[in-house]
Amino acid sequence: MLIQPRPKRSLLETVLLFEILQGMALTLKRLFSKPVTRQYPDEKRQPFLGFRGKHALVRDPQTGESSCVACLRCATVCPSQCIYIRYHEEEGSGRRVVDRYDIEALRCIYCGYCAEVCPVNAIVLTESYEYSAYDRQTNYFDRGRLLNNWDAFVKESGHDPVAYVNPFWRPRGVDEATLAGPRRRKVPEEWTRAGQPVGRLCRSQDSEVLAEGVQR
Amino acid sequence: MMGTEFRNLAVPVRDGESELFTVQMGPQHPATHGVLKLNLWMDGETVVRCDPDAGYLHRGFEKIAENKTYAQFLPLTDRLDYISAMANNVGYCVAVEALLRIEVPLRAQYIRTMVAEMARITGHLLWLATHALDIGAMTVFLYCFRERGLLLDLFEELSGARLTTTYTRIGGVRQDVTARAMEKLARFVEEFPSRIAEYETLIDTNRIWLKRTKGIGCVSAEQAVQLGFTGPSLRASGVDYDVRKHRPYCAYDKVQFEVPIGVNGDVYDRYRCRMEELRQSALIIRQCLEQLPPGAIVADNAPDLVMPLARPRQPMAGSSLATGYIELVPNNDVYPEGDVYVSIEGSKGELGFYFVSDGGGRPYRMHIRSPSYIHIGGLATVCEGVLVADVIAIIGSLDVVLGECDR
Amino acid sequence: MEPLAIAEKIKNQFPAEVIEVVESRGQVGVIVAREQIGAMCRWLKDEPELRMDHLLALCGVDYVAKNGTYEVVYNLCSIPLRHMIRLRARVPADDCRIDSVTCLWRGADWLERECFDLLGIVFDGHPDLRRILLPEGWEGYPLRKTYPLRLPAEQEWQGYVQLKELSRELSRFDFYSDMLSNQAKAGANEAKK
Ligand code: SF4
Ligand code: SF4
Repeated sequence: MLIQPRPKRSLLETVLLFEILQGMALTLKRLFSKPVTRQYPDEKRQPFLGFRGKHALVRDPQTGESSCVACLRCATVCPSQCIYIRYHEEEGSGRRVVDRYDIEALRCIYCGYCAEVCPVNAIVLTESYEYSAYDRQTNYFDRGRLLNNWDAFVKESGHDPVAYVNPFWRPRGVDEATLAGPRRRKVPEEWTRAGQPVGRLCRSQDSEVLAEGVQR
Repeated sequence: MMGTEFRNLAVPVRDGESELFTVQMGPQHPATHGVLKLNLWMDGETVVRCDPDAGYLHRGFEKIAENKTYAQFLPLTDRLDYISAMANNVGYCVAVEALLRIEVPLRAQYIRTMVAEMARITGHLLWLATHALDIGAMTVFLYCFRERGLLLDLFEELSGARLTTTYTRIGGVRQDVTARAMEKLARFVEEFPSRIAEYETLIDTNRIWLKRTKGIGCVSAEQAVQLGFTGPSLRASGVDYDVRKHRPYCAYDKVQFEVPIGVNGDVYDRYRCRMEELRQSALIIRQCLEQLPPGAIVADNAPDLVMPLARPRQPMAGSSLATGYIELVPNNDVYPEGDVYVSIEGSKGELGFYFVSDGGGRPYRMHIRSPSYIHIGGLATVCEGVLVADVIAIIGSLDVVLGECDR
Repeated sequence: MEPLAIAEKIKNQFPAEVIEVVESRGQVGVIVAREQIGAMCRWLKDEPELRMDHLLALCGVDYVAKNGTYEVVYNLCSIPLRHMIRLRARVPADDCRIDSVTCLWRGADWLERECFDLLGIVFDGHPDLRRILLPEGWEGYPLRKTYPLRLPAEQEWQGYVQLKELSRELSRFDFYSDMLSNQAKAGANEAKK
């Protein structure tokens, strides 16, 4: 397809500055519509559910501690290798106990991989996005800070600390039933296969309609 | 102090008859679209020689890739062409899937097509905004960002981030689309053509715009192919080359669209090509929305993010921290040996990935064919003999992003 | 044209040059010797049945550990005929040079420079072969497999050492208290007035 050249300006249009007036008219029209800009520091923006912001360790309502089982999946997958975990195994039961869990947020690239691979929804990225600081230490999160981040997030956003879950906490495309059970949070139907939106042409089960649409 | 610095910037050099000036434009120059530096040798206002100097943003991506798993490199592709990160995600995943022989489900293909086109729109809108701003049309900038904001909101809803999306995954996409996002997108594509008309009202026939763009920076078809130009910069010269048509990927063979071709290959034609592409992108998205099939969004044999065979090394006795060091066992069943070159049509041009696998869990070698790098390489040829003010228009019209150029 | 047929054609035209034809993921790579690479590319470009007019990508790969060579990989495609082929020219590690193809594709200029910059392969006949992505004084070629990921502190590149020095100095500077003291000063000035 060749691009369409514009018709030449007529003499009258040239003399009357027609196209410039047209542009001005558009600008003038805009003057009376609602502005789309937001006066940021005064007017805060509510990020979407699942925005990848500040890290947090979810505080387990039962124990008051994080539910991390020290499987090291998050530390393994982290592309910038900014998660440091130290753990020991409990005598007898062999259960892993986390001694230290640090995240160097200034090296993080906010890919969300850690939250995605965590089998028990322990490490998450919260929707809080304002945490710049004057020094590097403030954004070096140890376990206590990460748990506090969670408390702060729940308090600020008003989410229910027990029920809150966002789509990025769960591994992609996996059936909820196959996931490690009790420690994970329940997700609404909307995010599962059953609730997925499909195109108009595919809504009827008739596959011929689709084939037709594809050919068209 | 100031005086000596200034003299360093413009040193008169005797060269035969005339007196040549060297001017260093950039790397901190608002019109070079990033940290690009141009060494210009000028005779009065005419550029005699132009020597672009790249590499200020070099982060060694190709070396990093050799030391990360395939999945771990994916977030870094966001940082290539950071203006349309989604397209890079798609390109990278398409290439890795070709290497690992993974079949992507149809629904994921459609979603990818859709987000890649959304990325093209965001990329072109930012290009139009800054290009017009460079040339002096401030208003367009504001209008473009209005629409770009809508799309970035959609990206945030789909992927959790506005710019560094990391949305696709090897074998599919991260997250299924929601009905609400689809509705919003449908409304956006309905409205978008009228918005394009608005931009065109502002500049398309504006006499200043025409004076600044028509007949400036002409690249003939032959020259464009010689220089390796791709994307709208090549098509504006009249060459019909679009990866979406030549080597279709994702669902591009299932949707209908046209490829706008220019005639003169000047700044104005490149502008017109991109404007038409915006319309075509909206058309593609609309078709995808209509045809979006039900089904899985990741392939069954897609590797886990913690890629198979990648096991954390046992923390050694006495070592302080167990970090993410990974031991990889070469295994030809999962990561077959071989090499593959796969490219997609990014918003700047052909974005290609050349992979070599030796059977290990990491790429043995990965080369990124970035369109911006090649376009800047060609800048020297295009800029010869033009006025210095036109250099700005030419850089703008080639649509370069330095994150992608320097890698 | 089918990629294997193209490889066959190349083999017939340059029987002495072609070392091996490898197929991978439906794409065909022709491993060739480096001597005739210029002539081969010219032929590929001009042959009416092939018309490989578009140089998709040019890059180097380090195979020294495997067989003592580097490879310069040319991904070529034909815009009018819509087919592609890959040439992989072997360059021995002890004599890292190959002919430049800049006379055929102007766009190869920067690609070859990048290849030289990162892998140290010298392109004979290149008009302006110098470092491009890395700083001028850089030592070594990072994409070689022997290039260390981390050097002992004393061997680090001087430019980087200086940069680290500077950032350490700046991190000692306490912006916050500086800002506070500035504000206090401004307040005091105001009060004086
Ligand atoms: S978001 Fe990504 S980079 Fe940041 S800590 Fe998690 S895995 Fe690491
Ligand atoms: S992935 Fe989850 S459970 Fe495993 S170590 Fe990380 S935070 Fe703990």
